[in-house]
Amino acid sequence: MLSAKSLVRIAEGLGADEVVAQLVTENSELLKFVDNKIVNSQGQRLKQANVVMAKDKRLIAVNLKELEEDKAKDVLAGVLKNVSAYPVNEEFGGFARGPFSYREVKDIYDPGVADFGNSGVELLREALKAGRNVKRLSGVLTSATEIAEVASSHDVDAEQKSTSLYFSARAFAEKNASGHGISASRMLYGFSPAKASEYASGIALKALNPVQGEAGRYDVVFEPLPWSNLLSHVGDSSSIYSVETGTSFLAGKEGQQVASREFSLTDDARAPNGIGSAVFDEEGRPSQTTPIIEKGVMKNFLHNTSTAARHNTKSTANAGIISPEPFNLVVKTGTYKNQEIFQGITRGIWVTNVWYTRFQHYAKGDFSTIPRDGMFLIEDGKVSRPIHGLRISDNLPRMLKNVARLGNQPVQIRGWEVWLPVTTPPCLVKDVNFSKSEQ
Amino acid sequence: MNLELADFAVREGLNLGAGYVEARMESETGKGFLLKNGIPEVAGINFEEGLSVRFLKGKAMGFISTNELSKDAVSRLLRQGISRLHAANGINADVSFSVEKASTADYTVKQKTDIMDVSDGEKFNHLIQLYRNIKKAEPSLLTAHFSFSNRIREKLFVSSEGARIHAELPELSFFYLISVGRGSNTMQHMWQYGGSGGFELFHGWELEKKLASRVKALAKVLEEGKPLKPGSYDVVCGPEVTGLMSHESVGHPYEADRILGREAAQAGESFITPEMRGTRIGSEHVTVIDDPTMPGSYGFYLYDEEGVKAGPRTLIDRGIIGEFLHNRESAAQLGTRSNAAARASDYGKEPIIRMANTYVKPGSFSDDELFESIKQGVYVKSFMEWNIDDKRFNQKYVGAESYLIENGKITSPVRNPVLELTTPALWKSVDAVGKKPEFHAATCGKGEPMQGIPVFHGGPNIRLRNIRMK
Repeated sequence: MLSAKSLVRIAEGLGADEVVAQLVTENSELLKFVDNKIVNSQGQRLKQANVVMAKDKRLIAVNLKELEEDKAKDVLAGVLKNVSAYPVNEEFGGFARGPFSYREVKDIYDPGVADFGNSGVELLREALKAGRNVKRLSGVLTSATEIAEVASSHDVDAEQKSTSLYFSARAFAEKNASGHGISASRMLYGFSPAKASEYASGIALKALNPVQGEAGRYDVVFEPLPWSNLLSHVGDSSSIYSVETGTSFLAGKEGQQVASREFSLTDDARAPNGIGSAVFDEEGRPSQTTPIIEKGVMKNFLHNTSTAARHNTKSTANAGIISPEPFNLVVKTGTYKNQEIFQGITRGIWVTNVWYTRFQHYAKGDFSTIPRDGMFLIEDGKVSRPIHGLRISDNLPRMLKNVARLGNQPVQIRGWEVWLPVTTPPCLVKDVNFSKSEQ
Repeated sequence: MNLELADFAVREGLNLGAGYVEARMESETGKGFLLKNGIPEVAGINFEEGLSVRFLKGKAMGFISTNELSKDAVSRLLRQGISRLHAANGINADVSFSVEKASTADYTVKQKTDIMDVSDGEKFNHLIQLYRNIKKAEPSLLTAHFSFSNRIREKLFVSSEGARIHAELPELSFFYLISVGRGSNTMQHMWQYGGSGGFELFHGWELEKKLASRVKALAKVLEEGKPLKPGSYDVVCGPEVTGLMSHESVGHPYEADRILGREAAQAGESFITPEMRGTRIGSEHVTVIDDPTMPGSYGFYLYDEEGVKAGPRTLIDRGIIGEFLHNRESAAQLGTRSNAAARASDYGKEPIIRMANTYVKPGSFSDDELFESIKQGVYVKSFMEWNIDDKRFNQKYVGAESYLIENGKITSPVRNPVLELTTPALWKSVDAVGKKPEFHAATCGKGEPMQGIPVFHGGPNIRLRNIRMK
């Protein structure tokens, strides 16, 4: 049976200077439901092998389809034969050098999920029941089990097993009155589709009969879902690769105040039950927890071995072989209880979801995004009435500096536009600009 | 490719009690090259092969996929799939398909220069030379992220109704994200090129000329451009903007699965309803087509992922709402026929309704005629930021390369002019359509899990009257 270690041995034997190989086996299921009925029930089994080789400072990543040793050898030999014609990557600074000792990450594998059977269907039945107060619920429920091996030419040979569960549902009380709920967990204990369904339905019912909102500046309470969407972009900006490509609004700001003192953000690859948590990064370096922003001050960019070498720093164990990436973004929890966060707001908007976040200038952080699902005016410290038809058109660094309050109840989010898992409580941002269609 | 396994999968599905079974087998050889500020980061080589099976058991739909290409694995996954359907008794939706001809076909996109005959080193060096030449010609280029990829996909579709479609589809794409600077002022822009064919397409894109021209134009905007004074203007949208508008505010809301709510959970729904067919949505100058069969296009195909023969679809005909984009499921729901809009990003994803190549049909106006009657206007030639709500009603486009139009002439650059308007207001304000179309490549996202698929969007310059801009 082909292993990551054997792939490394083959590539070394063929003359590669440095090699990292990954072998991933995944079994997953997905139930797609529309208007309270399953429209497609899916199952998938995949085995993927990826070999990254460096030869005379030329870097090649190969995804193999045939996982027998002889065939893998033929393919890698064919690739390496041509590598001398590639241009040299003078910036390449090597892969992580082991051996490493690895520490277990708590709660990333649940045997109950690995042996899920048709339990997803039963969880979905409960979720649909919990959303019975609205006209319709649509979404997905997925479960997955993964075994990932990593090995390298630098004494790395490690394996991790993980599971994941994800439920996403939009509830519609009417066509223009909807709410979105998410539950994401690696373990059964943190997974509650019924609760997410109930939350989505509650928002949808509150959102009935919305009126056109007015453009202008408002203090905004973001629910964890929309706030995560925006924080994903902060996570992107924290990768040193974004700095190098000119797409980070955090570039050159190390040690500077980039957010209000209320705001601290960490990449925690070791968060128990973290959807992105892992024992090691893509080079096989043991995972770690890295502060990105502490009390508003930019602390660290995320690095792999090669980027760290060229920036004279240490890897933060965030490989991505080419581009370092966060594992789990975690916002430091505040002290505000659910309703307290609204107190004293005289002209505000409660945003429960956004979509289609796009940037005019990544390095400046100028962007817009569109609130969807329930959006509500806040008047006299209370949520007053549903509105629609507005767009947030602002600047992300400016918004970070206007973070005023954070709730005390964090929620783990991953989703369609939240490609980096984010754990955050609700957040109050002062003075956010809203625009609307002019005709 | 193990074509026999696809036939086995169909037989096995029927043996297990499914009433309808289709199998899609795909093999891909792909290569990608990444250049960051002139540094060759990495070459990626992808070999992939896999199979998926979609089936109806009773009226419930199941789908399985794997790259473990053995009869045992396929049989096991099918049994599990059918067990899942049984477990969900009572909450399975009733799914049915429109009746369509079971086609048999075999087609290949021809390549003048086989993309696999051009060495990896040569492809990489083309990118490096491109960067160096532009940087030399236009020092205002600050950062540049280039990626070039090519792939050849072999696809087989077989169904229990007797359809059998085999295709070989070579495809190329180039993407850039650049920063341009003048003093302390900077702008960013990103764009994609793509098509179906051989390496000749890469040369046809004239990247050096076009990118250098773009950098130069953006530098001029930085140097001379002033913010637009908010107010009412006549607007000419360049082909890049016209194409995006046709994709976002015509193609997407005309997808029947959105109209019927099947994508409500993520990609959203549509402000269009079935009852709106035949009603006016735009001026008589507006005709919007989606045509998968456009030769050389990035969204090219002759048969969709349900084996239905493709052809052009008229979404808006002289301002009147025409046909929606359908697959067999939505067509059955609305009592019509599929127009072959079922696509999947790869074998492991279910086919859903997608655009292919969407464009505003060219009109009769020369560029001079479009501009000459404008007293006070804005020419939005390209954009960076854009978005649209999930019913495809409220949209925003922020200009990148943009100019004032004064007394019929393009004059000084303007910085980041903003169009923020509704879909009916947009298409009803069009009073002239140019005669020179351009087609541009993009990757369109939809579905959960997300599926990115290659598309063209395009059209000529179009003129919008009396638009409030800021």
